[in-house]
Amino acid sequence: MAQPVIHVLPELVASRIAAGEVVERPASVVKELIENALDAGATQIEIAVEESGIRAIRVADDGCGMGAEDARLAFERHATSKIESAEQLESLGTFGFRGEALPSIASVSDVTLLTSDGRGEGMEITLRGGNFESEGMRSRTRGTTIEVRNLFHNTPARRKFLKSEQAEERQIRRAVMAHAFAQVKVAFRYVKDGDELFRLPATDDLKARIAALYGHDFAATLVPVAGSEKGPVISGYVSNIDAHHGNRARQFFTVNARPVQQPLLAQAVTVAFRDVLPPKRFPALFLSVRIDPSYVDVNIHPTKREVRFSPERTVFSAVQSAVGRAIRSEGSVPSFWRETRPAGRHADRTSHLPTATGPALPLGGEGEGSAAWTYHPRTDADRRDGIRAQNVAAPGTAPGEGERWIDRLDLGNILQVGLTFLVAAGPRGIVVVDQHTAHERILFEEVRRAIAGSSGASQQLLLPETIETDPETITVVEEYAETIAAAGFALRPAGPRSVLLEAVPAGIRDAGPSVFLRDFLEGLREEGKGDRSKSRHVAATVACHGAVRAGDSLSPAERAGLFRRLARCEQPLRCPHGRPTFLNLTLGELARRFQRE
Amino acid sequence: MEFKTQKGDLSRTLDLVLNIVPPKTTLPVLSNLLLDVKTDSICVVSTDLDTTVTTTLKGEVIREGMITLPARRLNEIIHHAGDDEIHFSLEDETVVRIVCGSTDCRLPGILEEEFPKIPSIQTKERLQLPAGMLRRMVAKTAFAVSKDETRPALNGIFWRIEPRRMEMVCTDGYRLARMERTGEFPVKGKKEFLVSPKALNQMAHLAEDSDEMVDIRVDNNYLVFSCAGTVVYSRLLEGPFPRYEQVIPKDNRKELITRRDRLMQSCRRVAIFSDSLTHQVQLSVKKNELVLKSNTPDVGEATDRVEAEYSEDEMDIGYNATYLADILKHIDGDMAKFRLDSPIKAGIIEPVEQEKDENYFCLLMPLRLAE
Repeated sequence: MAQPVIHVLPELVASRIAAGEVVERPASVVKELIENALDAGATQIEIAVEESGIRAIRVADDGCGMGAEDARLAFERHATSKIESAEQLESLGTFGFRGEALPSIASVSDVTLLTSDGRGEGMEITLRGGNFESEGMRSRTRGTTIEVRNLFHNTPARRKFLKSEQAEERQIRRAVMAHAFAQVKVAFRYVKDGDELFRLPATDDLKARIAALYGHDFAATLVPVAGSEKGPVISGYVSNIDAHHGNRARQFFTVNARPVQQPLLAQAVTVAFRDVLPPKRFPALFLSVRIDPSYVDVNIHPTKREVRFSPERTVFSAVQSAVGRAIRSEGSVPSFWRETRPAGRHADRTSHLPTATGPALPLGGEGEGSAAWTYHPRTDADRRDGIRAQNVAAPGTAPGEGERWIDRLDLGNILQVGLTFLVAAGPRGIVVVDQHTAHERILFEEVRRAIAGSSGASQQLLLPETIETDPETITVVEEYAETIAAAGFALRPAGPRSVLLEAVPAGIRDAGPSVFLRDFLEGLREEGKGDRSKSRHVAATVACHGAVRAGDSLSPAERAGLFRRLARCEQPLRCPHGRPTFLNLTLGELARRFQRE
Repeated sequence: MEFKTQKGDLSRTLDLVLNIVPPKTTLPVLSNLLLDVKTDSICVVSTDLDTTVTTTLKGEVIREGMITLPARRLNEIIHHAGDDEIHFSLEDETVVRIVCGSTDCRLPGILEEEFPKIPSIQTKERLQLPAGMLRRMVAKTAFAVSKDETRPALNGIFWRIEPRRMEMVCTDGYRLARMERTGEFPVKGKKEFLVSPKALNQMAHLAEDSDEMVDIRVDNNYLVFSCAGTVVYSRLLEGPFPRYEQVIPKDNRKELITRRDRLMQSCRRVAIFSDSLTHQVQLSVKKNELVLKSNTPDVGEATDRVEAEYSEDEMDIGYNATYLADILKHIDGDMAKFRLDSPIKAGIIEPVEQEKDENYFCLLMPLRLAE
């Protein structure tokens, strides 16, 4: 009889395979250990790594710790204190629940656990490659220290696939920061190869924590997000529209305090920022979603990196509208106006910023009197022009509280420079507006409003045009018939490859009807998802074609009119493609230029 | 090259050629005028490549030669000249010395070989028309020419000449103006061409007297006008011009007659409150009355009334106020007639009394009013 081919794997082998799912890289070890510490109710967590975690990872906390019996059990697979029955998976209140983390980690490294529940001495257990090696009593205050050494020493394949030391360390640091933003009441300390990289005191305020990590300059560019429509509660901060970044490194999401990487949430934010940021620029954000745990499935991935919502659309639109509101209230006011708000109110808003920690103290800069001024970092464009833009992330100072910012500009004497820029004197400097981008923004919002109120006037064509096109576009025409009509086009099919254009949106200035329609259909085909974006696209197309160009001469009345209409916009500081409409050269900047400091 | 001329003569000559000189150009020589001095004539030429004007200058030729000189600077020199007699002489290859009274100046030019060649025309057929008639036809139609460069066929005046009738038509796709003239025109068959309004305006400029005859020749590429020693070469525009006859409504039976000036004023008053992009005003056509309305959020609203003769169904039509006022401005006489059908069909606007041998009307497409 032949030897049976199939056999049950020895437990150690099975553990190592399972470990592959949970423990992908040093950062996942760090994440699991931090979550254990948080589940144990820690108020202080210290993370130390050596050689990007390959040599050693040590996580120490002041949580509830374990007694001797529990400590031994902790390394058994699916041993957990966190849930008792399958039903509890429906409403998880803890990070862990699978009972996999410790055994998995232990199977691919050498682990020393020192823990104490505060009653008597602590228990120290040492394992090598998952095998029990020794145990003994050692003194320790309440809490747990786990040290993981020689990670992946017995799984060389895994080790080979690790990235560079720097890359692995960056991942670890990001994992620590993600938890630090999710749990501001817990103090974190992070030590890399013996150097303390950051120490974050416990706080009640997310912004203080962000400032402690990224500096006050950065924190000053943030605006608060808050919203609780239809269930999910959204809170946190996003960067203002001037302070965008080249990548998503400063985007952190938590769902019920669990850090997640969530394409869905990132997408919702992108949508909210869509017509105010230049292409390929990203906002910084620190967003927390709180939602009834029964609507979240965290058990779709062993590392719990992603979660699933049901229904997804609700969360998406809640995030989108909360973020949208935040940037509208902030982005609708030019910086000079934000800065000239009464000092008392201003002080209230900034007083919660801690001043003891953080690398820089940017408040009260440039000797500008009583208002607290903060300068945000230069954007690329600023740097190019050598102009330093000013900004204060004072939230919620929308116009409409009596005086409006536009009232302070000298609209009777607007200069037109190079047939492109309009220059007005403001209360604290000079305001420069790009006539094309500003007009685009105005038309964009007007057309969008018009479409929303479906009052898009339509110009009948004397000479209806037959437009040859491809079958795909014909499908688009059929699919978006209503939107196309709402925009003011009148189209009739005229064969499998052509349409007859009988009317166009009124007011297009300098493009022929067919050019305009082609642009429009092209846009629909590219981005026709969701009703909002359709009308948005119509608006952007009309705006671009109708807007005055650089080089058009404007009369003084037209110049003032442009400013006034701009002031009525929801988001006056950006054109629909994210280019700035507005530049503020402050008195401070002028003084610096004239070396009056 | 050397010649003498009088300030007044040169000034008139420059008037004829100067507005062809393009204000900005990538080809520097186009900013210059060509002076072609022969024993028996002084010829001055300007061009923007599409339109070329040649004219003659009275003067006393001392030596033959050619040179190009900067047009606008030359014009300034002549404008400020302190004496009547002006003496031009070429000093070296390109520098022209200009002496006038106490003034002695040197103006550098560009060699004449760089100046574009004057078009030559391959036709024997010629036609003579009174300058006044042409001038009137151009004035009544050219305002409707499209400025949209993506549709070159609409950038010109469509001109059709037949033995018994002649017409000019312009449209920008939203409105159309057509002037027809009956009479005897010495052409064989039907002639159709598309001409730039710039050239036709230039031609209208040539003749001081309306009765003077303009000599017209045309081949496949150029239309050439000549009159009183000046010749305008105009490159024909690429067609085809749209088949506009098909869009002229034939069943517009609802006639409305109103005072033209009253309606024009009313239209301008109400337009103050129209949307700055669409210029939309609403015309409510009622029994013996026209009510104009416009209403724009944040701008305000206005209503105005004009008496009118009308007895058909009442209806509301939207129009672009700028277009409507433009058309009314070009209609002759005290009374204007609207021939209408429905709020989404073209409206015909014409004078109640046509001039002798003329048939003039404009078409205006409505704006579809929002529900």
